[in-house]
Formats: sequence, structure tokens, C-alpha cells
Amino acid sequence: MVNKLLPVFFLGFLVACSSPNQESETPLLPVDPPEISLPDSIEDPFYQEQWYLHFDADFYNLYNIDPDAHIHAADYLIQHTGIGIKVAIIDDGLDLSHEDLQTAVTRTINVDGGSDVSHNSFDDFHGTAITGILGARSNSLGIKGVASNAELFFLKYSSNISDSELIRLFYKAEEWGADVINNSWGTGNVSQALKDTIVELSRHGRQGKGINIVFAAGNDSQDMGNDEASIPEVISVASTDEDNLRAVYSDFGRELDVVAPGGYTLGMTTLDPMGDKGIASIDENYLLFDDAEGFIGTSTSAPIVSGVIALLLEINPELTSTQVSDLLHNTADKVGTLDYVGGRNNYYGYGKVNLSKAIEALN
Amino acid sequence: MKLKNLLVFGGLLLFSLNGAVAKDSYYYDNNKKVGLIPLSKISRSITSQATIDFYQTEQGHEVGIYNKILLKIKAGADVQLLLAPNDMTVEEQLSPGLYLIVVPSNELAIDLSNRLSEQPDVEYAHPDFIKKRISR
Repeated sequence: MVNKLLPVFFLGFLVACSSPNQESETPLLPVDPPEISLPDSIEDPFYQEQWYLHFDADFYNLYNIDPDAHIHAADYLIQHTGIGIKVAIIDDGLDLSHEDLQTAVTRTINVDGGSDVSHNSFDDFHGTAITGILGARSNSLGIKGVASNAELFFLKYSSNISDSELIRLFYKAEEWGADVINNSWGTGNVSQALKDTIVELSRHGRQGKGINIVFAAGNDSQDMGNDEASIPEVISVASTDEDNLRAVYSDFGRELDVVAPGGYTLGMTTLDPMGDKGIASIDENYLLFDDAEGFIGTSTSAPIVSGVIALLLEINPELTSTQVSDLLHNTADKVGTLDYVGGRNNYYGYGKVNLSKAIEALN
Repeated sequence: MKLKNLLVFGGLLLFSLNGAVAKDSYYYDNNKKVGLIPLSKISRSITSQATIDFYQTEQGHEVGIYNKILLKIKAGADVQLLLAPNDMTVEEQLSPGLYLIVVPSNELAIDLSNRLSEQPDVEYAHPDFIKKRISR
């Protein structure tokens, strides 16, 4: 258990060592999405292990997982893949060459300059793992991301950066046309100018429809306080575990919107930087659910919700950010043992995201 | 110069801090004072050679402060008029009304952002804080 928690808490303090480069905004790939023919089934070999997305009877029985611990993806992950939707990820680094992200990421920028967003050290993995949960491609390799045909942008921050640098990253994501911005990080102490920027973009970005800005709630089992996740316009996401209950590490608060699987005794199967980079101990390219360095935390819950939003926007691109929030709130499952007063409580928000219900409400 | 601007300029002269040393031990966040306790001073080696002064807020959060501040002015306000008395310059306009401002020294970043915060044409001003972004 402790081993599984370690990677979650040791992140974010490594000192960046790359040299500043000339900023490049050249797209890595053509911006127009390619024609995609959707498969009849999901062939990704580790999909069975992605307990957080769907119910697999054999896997669930073997590991004694609550039958509702997933987000009820059903067949909707085949029918909808986020195609045409742009999702920005602000995180610590990315293995852009990962075999399960080929063609996924079309634009990158490093806050320290240039477009190289590689991880700083061999044991960094966070951004790659987050990107995998959100948008790993659907193929015969590895896992399936929630939005496996969404166009991804990656914006790399450093562990110590200024408010103005972060503001520039948010505006860069807007400039690139992001519909969703995933943030599996926080400071616990958001400044007024950054808050102002996030509010502005979430209300008026995306040609007035509002960018859907998602933040992880935090892993310290404490009130979110003055964190980025507490900004009312943000979609803040806490975690549930394999028992379909609030994960013990998960932060809480009156601005919490929803919960989504984040793991506890079972990790979240996702990507690890390829080869001898990263931290995985079983499969060098993937962090599996039972890896000794397994990945858990609200960081993993946020990209699930960002991916779900991409699927909803694929179905109806005209949804405003407020409509998306309302949809997530109104279709969430009221899990846990706490009362929901006025539809919510401070530990589960409006409840656990249910993809099937959200899509069916749209249809 | 419009009468309004003349009055603003007169007010700004009252907070001219050239040559002064920092004395405020707080900054404004949403119009509330937040206490700051000085910590050690280290050099930042990644994107600039600027020296950063580190503080701890009264809530226990560590923040770095250097010679830049963020200023949000009200619609119709003249940013240059606000900056002129204290040798502050605009480095970049980040969004409508939001500016990254260079101040003469680290020591003046807190005091000048506080004095700007107290001006009627200013929505808010605070140091361009450097913080740890913690992956979750």
C-alpha cells in the first residue's frame, strides 16, 4: 500500500535541468484529424486491466472489485473516441515517442522554452501516465485512453514556475483551440491573477462557450482550501477506490464537483515512459494495476473526467462549459455512505461520473 | 492630461518608493492582507539568473518573489500613468488589462504591488509569485 502511494507524493520537486530553447509553435502533425474507422471491439491488450473504465467479470471477481467501481463506459468507448476535440494537458513531461501515443499529440510547448517536453529524469513518469489515461490510442498496443482519438496538446511546466509563466501556458492552450484543459497538479495557494485567468477562460474561451478546465482535487485528505481546484468555474475531481468509495487520500471541499476512479490498493493501468525510462517494474512501457510502483491519486481521476468531457463534446460540440458541468453533476452516481444534501456533499461532490448516463442524457 | 489622470498622478506621487527598502510584511489577495515571513534567498538557475527572495505565507505556503509583479487595471485606466512614479515598466501584456511589470528591485516588489493595489484604477496587483506546482 505504501509503495503504491510513494510515486504519487514524491512528484513535482525534481529540478528541471534542460536548457532554454527557442520557442516553437510548429504543429508536430497536421491539425486536421485523420479519417478514423472505428473498430467493432477494443483490442488493446491491457484493456481488461483498466478496471476504472469498464466491468470485466473475470477481472472484477479475481480482485474483489465493487461491480460499480468503474465509470460505466459500456460500448460508448467504441462509439465515441473524442475525435475532433482538442484536449490540452499541463504536466511535468511526456514521452512523446511512446508507442501508444503515436499521432495523438499534435502540439507541445515547454515553459522553459522550445517545444521539447521530455521528462527531466529517468524516473519521471507523471505526464506520460496522465496522457495515457486520457488519450492513449486504440490499437493493438497497451491500453485504451478514454478519448482515444482526441487531438492532444502537451504543455510542460517546471516544478517551480511563476504565475505569469503558468498564465501564458493557459493562454497558449486557448490559442491552440483547446476545448478541455487537464490539470493533474495544484499549489494549494492559487494567486489572484492565475485564478482570474482560469475564470476568464472557463467562462469566455472556446469562442464564448467556455473552456472546460479540469483540476485534480489533491491527495492530502484535507480541505482543498485556496487551491486551483477550489475555483468555482473549474471542474474539480476527487477519487474513488476499487470499493467504489472515496479514496482515503482524496481531498474534499465545498467546491468539489465530482469523483472518478483513482485507485488505492489497485493501481491505474496506464503508460510509463518507454524502455528503461520511467518507473514501471513489470512491463517497462506500462504501469500496470499491480505494479509495485502502481499509479494512484486524484491525478488519475482528472484525466478520466477530461476524457469523458471530450466524448460529450464530440457528440455535441456546442455545449458550453456550464452545460458540461451541469451534465456531469446531474448524471453522477450518488455513491458512498454520506448523505447528498441538495444533490451533493463535500467528499463526493455531485457523485461519481457515469459516462453511460451522461451520454444517454445528451442523446 | 485629463483631470482624472491628473488626480491619479497626484495620488501616485504619494507612494513613490524609489530608493526605499521593503517594509510591508504582507500582500493583498482579494483585498485581504496575507502575512509574509522572509525565508532564505536562493538563485534561480533555470530560466533566468534572477535572485529570488523566498517567503512563507501566514497559511504556511512557500512563495518566491523577484523583481516582477502582476497588475490588473480597470477598464479605461492608463497603465503607464500608474507605473511612471516608481520606474516600473511593462514587460508584457498577458491579457486585456493584465500586465507583467518589472519593478526596480526584489525588495520593492511587495511594497509597490501593495501601493498599486490601493489605487482606485487597479483591480489588483501582487508579486509574480513563484510556487511549487505539485503533481498529484
